[in-house]
Amino acid sequence: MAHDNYLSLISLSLDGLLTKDEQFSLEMHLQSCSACMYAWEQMSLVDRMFAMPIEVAPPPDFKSRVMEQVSGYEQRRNLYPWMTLIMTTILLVAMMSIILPILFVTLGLYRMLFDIPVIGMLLTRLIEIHAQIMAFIGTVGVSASHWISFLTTDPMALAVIVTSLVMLSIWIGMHEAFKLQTTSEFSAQSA
Amino acid sequence: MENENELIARILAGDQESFAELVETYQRSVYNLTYRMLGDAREAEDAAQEAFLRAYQHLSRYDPGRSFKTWLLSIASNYCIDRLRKRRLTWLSIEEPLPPHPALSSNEVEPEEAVAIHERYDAIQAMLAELAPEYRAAVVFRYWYDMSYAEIAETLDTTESAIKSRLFRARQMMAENLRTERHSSLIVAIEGA
Ligand SMILES: [Zn+2]
Repeated sequence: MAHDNYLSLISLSLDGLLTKDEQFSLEMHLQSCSACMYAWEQMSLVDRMFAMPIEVAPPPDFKSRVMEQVSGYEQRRNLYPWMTLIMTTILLVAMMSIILPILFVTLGLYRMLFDIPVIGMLLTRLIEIHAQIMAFIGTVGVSASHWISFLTTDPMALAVIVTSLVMLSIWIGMHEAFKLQTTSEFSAQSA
Repeated sequence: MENENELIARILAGDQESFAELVETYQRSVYNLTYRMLGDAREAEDAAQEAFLRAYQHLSRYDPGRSFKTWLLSIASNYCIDRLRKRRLTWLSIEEPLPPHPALSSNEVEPEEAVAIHERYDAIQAMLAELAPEYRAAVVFRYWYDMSYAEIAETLDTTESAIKSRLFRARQMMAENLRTERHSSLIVAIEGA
C-alpha cells in the first residue's frame, strides 16, 4: 500500500473505524516509516486538541429575538394576500385608464355616449366649456406674443422700458439711502 | 421523538408560540455550530437566528421520520457554508484576527483554568479558520456533535466516502499547519491542556 493510503487509515483509526487487520497493518507500517509516523503524531495532536470540545453559550435573549423574527415573518405573511390584492387592483386600474380612452377614440365608442340622455348632455356641455377655455388661453397667448414681439422690435417701446427701469432703480437707491441716513442719525442721537 | 412531532404539528397548525420550545431545546446546538463555523460571536448569533427562522418558514417540508436536530443543523451548516463562501470572495487574502471570546458555557472555572481554556479555545478556532467551509463543517460535526460518518453525510447532504476524505484532508491540513511558525505557540497551549 502507498503512503497516501496509510495516511487515510490514520484518520479512520482516530475515529476508531479500522478493522483489526487494518489497524495491525497500519501499526506495522508506522514502525518502519518515519514520514507516516510523524504524520500520525501530528494528526493525533490535532485529535487531542479537539477531543475535549469547549462549548459556547448563546446570548440570554437569543430565544426572544428569534421569536420576534418569527412574529415579524408571520405579520408579513398575513399582509401578503392583501398587498397582492391592492397591487393587482392598482395595476388593473392603471391599465384600464390607458386602454379605455384609446379604445374609445380608435373604435369611435365615444359617439355612443352622446346618445345616453343625461351623460350625453353633460358631455356636450363639458366639450363646450373645454372649447371656451382653450379659446381664452389661445387669445391670451396670442396677444402676449404680440406684445413681446412689439416691445423687443420697436425702438421707441424699448427706449420707454429701459428708461422706466433706470428710473425705478434710481428710486430704489434713493429710498434705501434715505432709510440708512435716518437710522445713522437716530444712533448718533442716542449715543 | 413523538412529543416533538406533536409540537411541530401544533406549530404547523398555527400555534406560533410553540416554536419557542424548539428554540429553547436547540439554541445551544445551533449556536455552537454557527460559532465554530464563523468564528465571530455576532455573526454566529445572526446565523443561528436565520437558521431558526428558515426552519420555521420551511417547517412543512420537514420529514417527521428524520431527526429534527439533524434537519435543523443541516439548515444552519448550509447557511454558514454559503456565508463563508461569500466572505471568501470579499476578504480573499486578508488574514483574520482572532475574535473576542464569547461566554464559555462552564461558569464555575478557576481563573487559571479559564486562561488555559481560552488559550486552547484560540488554538482550536485558529485551526478551524484555515479550513475550507465544507471541511470545517465535517470537523465540527465529528468533534462537537460526536456524529458518525453517516450522520455527518446526511446533515451535509453528501456521501460517507466524501466525509471520510474531508475528515482525512482536514486533519492532514491542520497537522501541516501545526508545523508552521505561526502555530508553534499554539502547540504549547494544546500540550499544556
Ligand atoms: Zn509511510
